[in-house]
Amino acid sequence: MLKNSPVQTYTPPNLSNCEKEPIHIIGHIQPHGELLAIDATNFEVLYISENLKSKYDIDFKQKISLGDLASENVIDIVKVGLRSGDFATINGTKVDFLNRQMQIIINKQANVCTLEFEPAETLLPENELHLIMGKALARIQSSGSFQDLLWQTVTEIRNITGYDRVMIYQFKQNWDGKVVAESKRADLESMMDLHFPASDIPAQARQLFKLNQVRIILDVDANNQPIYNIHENNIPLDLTHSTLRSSSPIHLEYLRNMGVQASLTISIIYKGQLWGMFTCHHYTPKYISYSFRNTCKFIGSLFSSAIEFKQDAREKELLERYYRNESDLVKNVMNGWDILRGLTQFDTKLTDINEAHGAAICFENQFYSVGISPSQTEISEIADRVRDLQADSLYITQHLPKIHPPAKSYAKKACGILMIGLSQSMNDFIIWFKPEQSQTIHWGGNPEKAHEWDGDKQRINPRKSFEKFTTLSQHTSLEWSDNEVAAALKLREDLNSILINKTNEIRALNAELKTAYEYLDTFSYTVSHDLKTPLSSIKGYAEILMRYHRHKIDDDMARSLNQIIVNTDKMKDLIQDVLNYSKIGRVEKELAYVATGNIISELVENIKIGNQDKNINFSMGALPDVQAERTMLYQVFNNLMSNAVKYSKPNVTVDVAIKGIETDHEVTYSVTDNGKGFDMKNADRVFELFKRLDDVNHIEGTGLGLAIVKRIITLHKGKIWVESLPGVGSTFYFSLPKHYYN
Amino acid sequence: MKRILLVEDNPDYQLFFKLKFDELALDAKLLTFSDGFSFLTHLAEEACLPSVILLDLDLPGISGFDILERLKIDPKLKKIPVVILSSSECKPDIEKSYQLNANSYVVKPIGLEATGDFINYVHKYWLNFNQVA
Repeated sequence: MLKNSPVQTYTPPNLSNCEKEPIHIIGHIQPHGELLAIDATNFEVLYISENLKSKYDIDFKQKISLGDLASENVIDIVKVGLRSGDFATINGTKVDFLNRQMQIIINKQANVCTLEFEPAETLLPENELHLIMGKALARIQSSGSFQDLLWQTVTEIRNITGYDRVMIYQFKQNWDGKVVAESKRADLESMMDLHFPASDIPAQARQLFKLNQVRIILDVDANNQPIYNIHENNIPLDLTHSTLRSSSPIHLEYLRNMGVQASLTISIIYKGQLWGMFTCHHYTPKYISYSFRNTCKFIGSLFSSAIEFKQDAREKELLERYYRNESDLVKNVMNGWDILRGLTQFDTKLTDINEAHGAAICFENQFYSVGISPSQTEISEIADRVRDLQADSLYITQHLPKIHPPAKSYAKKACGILMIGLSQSMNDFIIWFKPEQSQTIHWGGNPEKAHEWDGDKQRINPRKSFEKFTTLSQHTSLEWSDNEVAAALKLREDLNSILINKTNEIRALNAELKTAYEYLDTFSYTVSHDLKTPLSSIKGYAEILMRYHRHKIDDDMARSLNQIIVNTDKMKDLIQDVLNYSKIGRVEKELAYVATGNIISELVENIKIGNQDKNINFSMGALPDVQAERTMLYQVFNNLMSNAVKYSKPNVTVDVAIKGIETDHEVTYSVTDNGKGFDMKNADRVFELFKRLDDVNHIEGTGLGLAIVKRIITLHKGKIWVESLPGVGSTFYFSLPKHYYN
Repeated sequence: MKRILLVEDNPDYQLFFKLKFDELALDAKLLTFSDGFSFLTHLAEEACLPSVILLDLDLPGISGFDILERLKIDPKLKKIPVVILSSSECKPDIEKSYQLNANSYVVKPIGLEATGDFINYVHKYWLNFNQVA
């Protein structure tokens, strides 16, 4: 080597700049190949690797052109590549270089063209390579499950390349990695399922893997060749796209510590991101040619599209299932316009729209839970906590105990939560639960001690031991996938629109009801005015005939006139009752404690006066006060007591007993008579509008009395019922709640 | 002679009132008007005030409420007792009548005999017991 070597100097990183280690300008190449970099315009040589430089007996201080170092056929290939702008098709071409068969690999960065020469393929003829590749691809394509795809691929890559171990290393969200598939020499210890911390493949290395997707390390102990900078201008050669670039000493030591002598990595790009890598290890130095590596790269891209396809199909199927179940839930809700019932009382459960183990809904102060869930109190504490976090109608975590420490005690039920609000304040909500996944993770060495500071070398060292190291991940659930969140949000949208519709429907019903009431006002006015006026005329004229013309008519005619008069009276009563009935719903109820005793004694007097032809015996028990609207209660007692007298047996003393019983919640009154009674199979009919029992047709009545009573009691949120025995008598009961508004 | 003024457009009611009034041979005179206009004209021309006015609400032309309102804002006429005689039992009608200072509200009797009873009550109460200012 020359004195004052113009060779690029490389400073190994220390702890602080570890992530920034400039490995793309590392300044060395691996010794199995040779490197030249030229000016793409005038072909002047700018850089040359030491192992190539030493092959010439030329003064490199002079201006040197590519023609001085390589034969015509090399120059021609470079020219062809530069003209077409595409080196991919010519890379790997065999050229005669310094009397050796070499494969040439060219890349161009800015105006610098880098030529790399590697030993030409000697092991396999081209057609055999194609045959192997075809078989491999067929097997990969025919793989069934996702795991099968992974396994088939590592197996095929190992078959083709002959590495001791081929693995698929998948990155997780935090860039930790995990071995998800492995094919290995039988005597090696498996690395399947081992985790590796993100720092093992730092960010800038991942960036290089994205750009240059195939990377071979022939021998970790090889004598790396420095790159000679002919212009000595301190601008290092960019090796981002180089195939010969040597590795960071830290990485080489990492491999050495693992016992690995040679490696090949092929990047797996999924949806534009570095998804993982095929990592091939060999325990002795190993070289595979550029063509072979290209084959592996091709398999890698094929695999990428296969996972894209398989993963997409899997996700699509899941999402479809979630959406199908979600729409079932919505249908169930719409059927009864009842959110709580629709979501909880049918075959499709809330937990069918994701992978949650349990769920709960809190809606309009009602609560319901399904599956494995914490208690109602615990859930409302969680909801309070989420509200404190000012979550905006959607809250997701995998680590509930982190934001809500009490959850540690029930992390087995609820460690991950997904919560959607059904109202602005999140007072109404649905929440799903995933249990703690106390996962045992096996690391390839202690992840806390991935690197150690080496005081002697003033740099960090990779860990010495890759002994399996086990950690336990606590207070973490499985993650909530995009699909699960999408389905939950869909449900929230659908429920909200149902809620809005429901509100609108109620509003419309109210408006209709108002119109109906207004109509009823007109109706009762019509009844009271337009019907009563002609009735008055009919009766009046019949009365005129009877009073002023009686001498001109005979007795039969007089009897007929009398019937007209009697029936107009009946009609007058009927009109009055219809009016009373229609008034009940509309009158503003002014509830008060009504002294029932007063009403009853007043009625007793009236009834006795109106029925002087009958022998009536009223008996009263306790008569507790009730909370009611006075005139309505009066009408209830009036109708019940009048009926007791009206439907009595002829020529028998009428016994009517009235009493009230008071409990904590209600007052129940009974009116018992010893009248005609009726068959209990007609018990419901007696309260119906205009329904009169057949055997009482000869007794005056409108068929409205008990209907009015029932309507009043119902309006007071009370109950009414009857017990009767034909020929013995009836007892009518009604009960009114004691605390109507409380 | 004391006078009772009846404002009622229904000829049947008018007839029942007249027949019964005559039959009862009361020491008073019944004057009937079929609309507000003739009634108000009469009041304006007549110097001597009637003992009571029986006023229907549902009238052609000027409504019963309008008549009532005019009577009760007139310093001279407002002393005359006004009994509203209506077939309506609607609470709003009753309330409005009292708000306009009606002296009484009665649901119209049905038929001849009931009308006779009513005339008797009116005569007894408004012409004998009641003291006018």
